[in-house]
Amino acid sequence: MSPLADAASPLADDTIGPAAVFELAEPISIAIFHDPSSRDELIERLAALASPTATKLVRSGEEALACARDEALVLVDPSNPAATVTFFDRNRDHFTLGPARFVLLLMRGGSGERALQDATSLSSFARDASFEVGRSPSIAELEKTFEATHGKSFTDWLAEWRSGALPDTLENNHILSEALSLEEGRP
Amino acid sequence: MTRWELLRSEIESARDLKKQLWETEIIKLLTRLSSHGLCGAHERYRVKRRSNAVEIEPRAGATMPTVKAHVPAILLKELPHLDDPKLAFRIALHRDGRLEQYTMSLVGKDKSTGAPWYVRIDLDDEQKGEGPCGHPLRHAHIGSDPSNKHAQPVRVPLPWLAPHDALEWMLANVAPALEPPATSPPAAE
Repeated sequence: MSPLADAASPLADDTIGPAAVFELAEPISIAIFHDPSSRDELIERLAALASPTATKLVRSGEEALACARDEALVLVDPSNPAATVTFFDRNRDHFTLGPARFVLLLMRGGSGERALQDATSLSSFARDASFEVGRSPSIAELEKTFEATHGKSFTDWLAEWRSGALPDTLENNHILSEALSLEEGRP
Repeated sequence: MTRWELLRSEIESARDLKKQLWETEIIKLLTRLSSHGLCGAHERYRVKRRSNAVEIEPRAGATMPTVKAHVPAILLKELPHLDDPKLAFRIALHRDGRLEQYTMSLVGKDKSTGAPWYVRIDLDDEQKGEGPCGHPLRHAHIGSDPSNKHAQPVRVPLPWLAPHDALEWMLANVAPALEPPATSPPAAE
């Protein structure tokens, strides 16, 4: 269990979590991700949500602190996660002096998340605004979900659609979109 | 080449060449929407890029009224002439971020008559129907809901529009405040 959460108070997901950063203007948030591709998508998404406020991407606590007086969302993708967590923990109050808001990006099970165990000042302060980007389902899981939801495999559904047997409705165009994403995701 | 084949070719070229952070552009548009009080501030947090798609996170109470599928939608409010307006979209992407297909819709009820109101814009992944005149690659369904088996479908041909442009067009029709500001003065005659 992450030091940011417990059974009674699980970590927010990435729908509610970013809202705390932007709507409540919490100064420090920690975002836990499961794989590098979800980190990259999160960086793009947070920059879009922050707009028109500028976004800065930095790699260390020191670089982040240098942005504290900027009107910016500072995304911290640390090159040394454990050292960055320790730096934020020791200098927590300095990060709250200016208008900048900070999101520290840490990989689930990585050295940064482990370092949070000893960074009680940081983890207790950032807890309410922190969140987790769920693990992306595998293609096989998505295919199973499609079949359970629509009663046939996406390949069968696509074949039926392409034969012209299915009506051109709003819902069928959404299902088509799902099926095309699955088709594109196949190796 | 007929005008319709030319139109299809223009759209196919644009689709293959344009590559943008589509999710970013849509979130920016929804931010404008919420800043005008036309949707909840939290709606923009539901838009997510997931591998080969940009989609709306489902949420109880915010789905389109469909028969078989649950289509996640964003509830709009304060529209002058529409009741119960729901905005839905989904974008399918190629692995390299190029567009493959999208569908976006705005449905509701006319406040004065209670009649269903329906606009849907589709970018098809491939040529459908008999050809590019009757079934243009990029088209809008306006007025009649084609899920009604007895309705005559109408597909209005559209030029190339990126997903966020298509959404902006739909929204500016129902909420004049969303008309984008001009970015440069019109050229002199």
